Amino acid sequence: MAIIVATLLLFAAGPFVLWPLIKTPPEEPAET
Amino acid sequence: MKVLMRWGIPALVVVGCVGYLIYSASGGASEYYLTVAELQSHASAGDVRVAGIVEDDVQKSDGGFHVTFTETDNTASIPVAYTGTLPDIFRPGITVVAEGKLGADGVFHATTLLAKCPSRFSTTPYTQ
Amino acid sequence: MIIGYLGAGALLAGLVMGGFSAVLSFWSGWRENAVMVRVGRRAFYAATAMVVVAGALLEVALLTHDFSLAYVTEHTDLSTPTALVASGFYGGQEGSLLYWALILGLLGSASLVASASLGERLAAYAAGVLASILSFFLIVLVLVASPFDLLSITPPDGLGLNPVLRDGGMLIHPPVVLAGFASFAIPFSFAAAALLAGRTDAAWIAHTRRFALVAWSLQSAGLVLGMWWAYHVLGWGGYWGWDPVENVALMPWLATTAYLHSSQVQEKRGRLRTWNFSLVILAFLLVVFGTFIVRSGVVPSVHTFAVSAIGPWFLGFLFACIVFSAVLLSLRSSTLVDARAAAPIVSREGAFVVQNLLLVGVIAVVMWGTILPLVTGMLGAERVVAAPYYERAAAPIFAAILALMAAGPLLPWRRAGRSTIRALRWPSAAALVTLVVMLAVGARSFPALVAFSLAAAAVATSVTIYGRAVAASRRDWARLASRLVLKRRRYGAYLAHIGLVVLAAGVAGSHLWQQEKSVTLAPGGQVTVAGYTLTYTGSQERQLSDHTELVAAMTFGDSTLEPSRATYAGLGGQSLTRVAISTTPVADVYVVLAGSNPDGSASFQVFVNPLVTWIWAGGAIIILGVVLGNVGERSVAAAPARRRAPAAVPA
Repeated sequence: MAIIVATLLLFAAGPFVLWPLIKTPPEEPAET
Repeated sequence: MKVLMRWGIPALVVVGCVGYLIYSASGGASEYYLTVAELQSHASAGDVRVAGIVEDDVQKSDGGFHVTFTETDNTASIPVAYTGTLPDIFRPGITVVAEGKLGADGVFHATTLLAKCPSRFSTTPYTQ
Repeated sequence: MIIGYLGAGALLAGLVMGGFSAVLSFWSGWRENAVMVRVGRRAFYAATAMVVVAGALLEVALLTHDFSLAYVTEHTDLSTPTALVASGFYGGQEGSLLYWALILGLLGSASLVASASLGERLAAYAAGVLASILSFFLIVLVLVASPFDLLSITPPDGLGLNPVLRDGGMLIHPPVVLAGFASFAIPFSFAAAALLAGRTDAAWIAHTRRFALVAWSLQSAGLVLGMWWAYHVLGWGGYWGWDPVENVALMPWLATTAYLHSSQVQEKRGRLRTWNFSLVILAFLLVVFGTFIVRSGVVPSVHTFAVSAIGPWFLGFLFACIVFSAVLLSLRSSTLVDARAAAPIVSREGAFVVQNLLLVGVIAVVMWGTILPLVTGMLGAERVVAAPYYERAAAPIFAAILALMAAGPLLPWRRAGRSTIRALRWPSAAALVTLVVMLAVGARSFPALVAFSLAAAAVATSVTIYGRAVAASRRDWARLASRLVLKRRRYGAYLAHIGLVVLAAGVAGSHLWQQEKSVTLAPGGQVTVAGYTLTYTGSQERQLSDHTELVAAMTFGDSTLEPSRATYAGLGGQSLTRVAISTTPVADVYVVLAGSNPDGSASFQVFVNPLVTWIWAGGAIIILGVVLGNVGERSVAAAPARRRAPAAVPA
């Protein structure tokens, strides 16, 4: 049961955490 | 090399002094820390500390300044007589550390009584 | 019930996120992948958010009396006042670990937000180290000591808080001390990151110093609050017992005190890098060591330590941290070699080195006393030491430190010359005057004579520093004010020094000149202690729901002191004493009611404790000095640019 809650929370946090990856197109150099 | 000489000497002096302080202070000031069972077989000139559990026969007198009780570690027991203010938490069943000497009368005369603070980090689980 | 699952889930999510952050941060730092560095950092923020969620859930469970959680049942009951129910969060083993993780996450996040200007690699490694530490705590929380464990049957009421713990001090002291402990991880993480990145230069210092200062301030407050609580609530007439729990709170504080001073040498002259890194690392290792000692039950202490399951985990963590730090320091030792030549010993730099040695000496004394039972127990018969050992061994070192506080600030950075000797006349005069005055009033105790003379000297030196500022501004008060504000770090520090000396004087006075009498009095009887005469006028006994309360009245001059003792028959006759204290700046009259007799007489323990107020006042002045000195510090990026070039030698 706790594992289900954990998975849901991780999915919810995903977009926030991965945002720098999402917004930077692969070819362009990274912004500071 | 010069740096070592310059700083090495004061460092050595400080380390030496601290070492001496530790050595001289701990030699005389340390006490044996025993269980009740060990107390019987232990012969010592100075004060010792004995850890054990307070049994149900607490007798207070002299306005709370004097107390006698039996301390046990579940293998051996010893009567204890203490004069002084009791720690708040003192009651049958708690762990105490008595500091003092075992008298010729078979009673441990305690000059200090330390009782353990009630459960802040104890893991006594709730039993159902 | 649901809260248990939600909380456990949040902790698990936090653990996964923390582990992910650690791995990604180290990898992205190594690869210098800026995008991934930021992902790793955000993962740390997300892990912190999970811990915050878990914390909120635990607090809700406590406040709604959700006894399906074992933790709530064990630490509260329906009759416990709300404030104390809320404080149950950090009152037990599992909750205090969650609280620790919470502080670590929040402070860590704050430090990372500000860290981007330090360079991607360093910021990434710092995030990696912080995430690793957070993950360790979350592993323990998830696997070994979860506050969200459920009971199979929900009881109607909890076990409640022992009356001895039902006190305001319980609300403030533990969270401050725990926060202090947790916060030492931040400077450690940045130190480790700097070593990993091979960047041991000035940019690192300002950032690390700021968070070391936060940790130091929290720990200072925690220590003074603990002393205040022990003195006012526990009723044994003292405020420091050299118990292992106290010692492990003191040691990281000593190491960080040394670091905060020694780091100035690195700022000014780029030297003592090995000392600085070692001190920051030592502070954190002492925290981990202390947590292991405190929660494992391996040394005897008045604080209850059952041999708990988390002991081995912290021992393992301690071992890992020691190995990690040792390897890091030795691999990067070449970057720590000082580029410039050492200043002579009689100089400001020399004074800081001596300070480091002396404070490490105190740590060694305290450490030895704390682990003596462990060492002797393993080698043969277990032995313990008590206050006399610590006093005998540490007092001379503290005296030397006071002397250093008197001389050090007046020494120049380079060679000390004639002007220095002239400057030292003020502290010397102060010491001499104090000595003469004390001898004249009849004080003969050698420790007191030494302590107060040196204290006077140290205060004189701090005042001299302020005096120089006044002189330099030539009575232009606006100019003086702007000078004080501009150099507030310096002037705040010397205010803190004054505070420390006041505190030290309070400790010396209350310790060396304490007097005590145990006496049984009939109504109308009198007792005189140290010139103070108290008259026992009578006592009253009241029967309340779960205890009997005995209140005695003692008149003393115009005031009345009412010490009391509550006895809980339902708890085996356990009692709760309320000490009555009459406080003046000169001394405290401190009365403990031991009990009463059938014939109407009552027994008391009366203490006269001189200068105790100075301890609390000194503590407040220290905090004031630190706060005023560091208000509105410029950002990290600006600072190195203004540094004079030669000092910052990049590795």
